[in-house]
Amino acid sequence: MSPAENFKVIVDSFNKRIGQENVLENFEDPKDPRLLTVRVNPGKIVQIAELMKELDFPYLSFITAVDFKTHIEMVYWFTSLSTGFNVRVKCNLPPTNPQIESLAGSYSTANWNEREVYDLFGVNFLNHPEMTRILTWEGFDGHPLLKKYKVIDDPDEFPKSPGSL
Amino acid sequence: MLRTEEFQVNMGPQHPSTHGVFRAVLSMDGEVVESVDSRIGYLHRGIEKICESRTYPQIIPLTDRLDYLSAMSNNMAFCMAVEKLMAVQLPERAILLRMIIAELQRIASHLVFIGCFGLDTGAITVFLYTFREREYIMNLFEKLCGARLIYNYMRVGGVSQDLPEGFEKETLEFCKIMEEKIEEYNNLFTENYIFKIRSQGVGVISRQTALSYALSGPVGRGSGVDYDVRKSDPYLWYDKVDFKVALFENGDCFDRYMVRVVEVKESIKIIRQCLGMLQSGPVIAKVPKLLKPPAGEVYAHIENPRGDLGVYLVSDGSLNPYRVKFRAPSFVNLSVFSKAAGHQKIADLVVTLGSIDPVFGEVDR
Amino acid sequence: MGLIEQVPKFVKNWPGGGLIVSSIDLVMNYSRKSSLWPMTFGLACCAIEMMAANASRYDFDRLGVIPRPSPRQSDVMIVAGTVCAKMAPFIVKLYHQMPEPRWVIAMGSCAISGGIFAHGSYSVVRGVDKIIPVDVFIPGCPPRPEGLYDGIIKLQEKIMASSIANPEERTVPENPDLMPHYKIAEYIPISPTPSEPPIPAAPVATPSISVTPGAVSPATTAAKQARA
Repeated sequence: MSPAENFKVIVDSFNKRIGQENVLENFEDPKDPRLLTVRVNPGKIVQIAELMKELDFPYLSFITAVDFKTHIEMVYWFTSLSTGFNVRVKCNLPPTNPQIESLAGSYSTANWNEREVYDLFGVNFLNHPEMTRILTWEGFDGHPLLKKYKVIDDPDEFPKSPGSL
Repeated sequence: MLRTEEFQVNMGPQHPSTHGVFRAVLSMDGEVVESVDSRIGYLHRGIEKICESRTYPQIIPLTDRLDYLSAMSNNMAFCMAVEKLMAVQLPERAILLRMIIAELQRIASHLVFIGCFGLDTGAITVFLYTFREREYIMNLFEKLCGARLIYNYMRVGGVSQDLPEGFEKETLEFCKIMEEKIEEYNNLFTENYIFKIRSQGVGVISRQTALSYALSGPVGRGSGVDYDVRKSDPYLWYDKVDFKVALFENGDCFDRYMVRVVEVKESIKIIRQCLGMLQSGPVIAKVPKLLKPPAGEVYAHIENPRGDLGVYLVSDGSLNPYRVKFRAPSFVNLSVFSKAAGHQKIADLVVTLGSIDPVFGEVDR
Repeated sequence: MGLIEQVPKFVKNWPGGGLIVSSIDLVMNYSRKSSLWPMTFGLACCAIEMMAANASRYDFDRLGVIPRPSPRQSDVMIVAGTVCAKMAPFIVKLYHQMPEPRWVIAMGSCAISGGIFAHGSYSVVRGVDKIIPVDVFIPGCPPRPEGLYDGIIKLQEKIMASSIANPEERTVPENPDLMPHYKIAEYIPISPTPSEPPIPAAPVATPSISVTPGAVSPATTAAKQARA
C-alpha cells in the first residue's frame, strides 16, 4: 500500500495502544515521503517498542538525542525491511536529570546506543543492564555533547574533563 | 586435588589481530572463551562536537576520517544529507560519477577485507595479492583527485572535479583485470580446505539475533537479513542499474566472506553499466558559496561497504550545523561480537572479529 | 651492552683510541640501522598506509624492516594515527616495554600535533611527543608510503650519526593527568569455588598470562625506576 495509507494504520495503532492523549503530534515530511514522525510521551516508550515489532518494523536503526537548550529530544528511528518506510519516534525530556526507560530488553541494539547517549548527554536509562561510559574514559566528568559543555581548547594541555557543569 | 579456575586475559588495545584499537577482556576456561567484555572508545576524537563549530564544507574532510577505508562513501553520505535539506537537484553526470566512484571504493574496501581476513586465518600471501590490486584503484583515485586514501572529493551539489583524460579506458581495463584476479583468489583461498575448516561454523549469528542487533551490510546479509539500502531505499540511480544482492543463510564467517566476494563482482557490473551511460555535462549544481540550509532535520543513508551509514542532520539556519549524528555501521555491528564469540577457542575469536570487519574510526568517531 | 659503553673511557687517552671507538660505532650502527623492526602500532588512517608500505607494491622488507607484533621484540615504534586520552597510558606502557636501543617515529599530522582534530576536540592529545620522546616526525595526512620511506631513511641516518662516546639521554615527559585512568585489566570477581581445603602455595613462577589484583608487573616497576 502507499505510504500515506500505511502511516494512517500506524498512527491508528499508536492511538489504540497507548491512548490518544499520549500521542502528542504526528506529521510527514514533504522532502521525504517515506518517513513518518510521531511525538509521544516518554513514559510509554517500552509499549511503543513492542508495538513497532508487531507492525513489521523490527529494525531499530539508531537512538540519539539532540540538546535544544530548553529540553533534550530523544529520537528513535525504526525501519521496515520489507517496504523501506521509516518511522521516527521523538520524546521530550527535561534538561535537568533526564531519564527514560531502556529498550535493552526488547531490542539488543539499544544496549550500546543508550550507553552512548548516556555518555554524551547524561540521559539516565532505567533498567539498563550496564549503564557505564562507553566512549570517553573512566573518570571523565561531564557530558560532552551538551551545549553548555565548553571544550578546553589549549594546545599545550593534556586533555582533561573540566568537571560537571 | 586438582581443580580448574577461570582466568582473565586482556586482549589489549594494541594487538596484531584486532584491526585497530579494540580491547576485549576475555574470561577463559583453558582454551575456551566463556565470555567477552568488549571495550571501545580508544579512538574517540569527538568528531560530532567538532562538527558543531565548523561550516558545512569544512566538515567534509572530517567525514573522510570516520571510515577511512571507504572515505568517498562517507563524503557522499554527508553531502546527500545537506542536499536533501536544501532540495538541490544533481546534474546527471554528477550522479553517474558518484556511483562509479562509490563502487570503486567498495571494491577497494573489500580487497582490504580479503587481505586482512587472510592474515587472521594465517594466510599471508592473500594480503600481498589484494594490496597489489588495490594499488590500481589508488592510482585511479590519485589521477582523479590527488590523494590515495583521504580524498575530500565530493561537494554539496556534485563532485569537485571532472574525470581526467583516459580515466574511463583505465577503469574498464581495471574491471577486466579484477575479474581474472577474483578467480585467482577463489582458487587460492576460497576453495582452500584449511580456510574452509577455519571459517565454516565459526561465529554463527542467527537471523533473529541479527534483526535484534540491527546488523546491516555483509554481516547482516550473511545471516539472512535481506536489507540493502541500494534496493530498499534507492538513492542516486541505483534503481536504474541491474545488479544482484548477495544473501546467504548460515551466518558464519565463511558466508560473510562470500557475501563480500560476490559484492565485488556485482560492483564491477555496476561500474560497466554506469560508464556506458556517461554523457558530458556539468559536474556540480549551482549552490551558493556560503551554504546556509534552511532550519530542519533530515536523515540520509547509503550503503557503505560495511553496512548502513546514515547522517542525521539538525540545522538551525546558520552557517554551522546544530547537531550531526553519524549512524556508523561498524558501531552497531560490533555490539554483536560478545554474542557471536561465545564458547569458542581463542583462535576462532580472532576470525570472528575479522569477519565483522570493524573500522575503529567509525566505531569511536 | 654495558661493557661496550665503557670502552671510550678506557681508550680516550691511547694514540688511535678514537679509531677504535669509531670502528665499533660503524659496526654497531650499521647493524642496527639495517634491521629496524617496528612494532605494528597503527591507530587510525595512517595505519593503512603503513600496511600498504609493508605490502607488495612498496616493499619494506628490502630495507630490513619487518613488522613485529610484540613490543619486546621491536626496535622502533611507529605511532601512526590519532592519539586519544584514553589510549595514552597504553602508549607509555608500551614504550617502557620496548628494550633499548629504541626509537619512536611520529607518522602523520595527528601524531605530530593533533592534526585536523587540534581545534575543538575534548579528547585528542595534541601530539604524541607530549607523552613519549620522538625521534623523527613525518608530515602528511596520511603520508604516502614514500613519505614513510623518507622517515625510516632519516632515522637510519640519525642512527649512523650517533656514537657510543656520547649517548643520547631520553626522558619521558611527566604528565600528572595521565595516571588517573591507567588501568590495564580490572579484576572482575568470579563465582566462589566449592569449599575445599586450600592447596598450599608451592614456590613456582606465576604464569605470564593471568592478571591478579595488586600484583605489579616487572615492566611497571622498571618504568617507575626509570622515571625516578
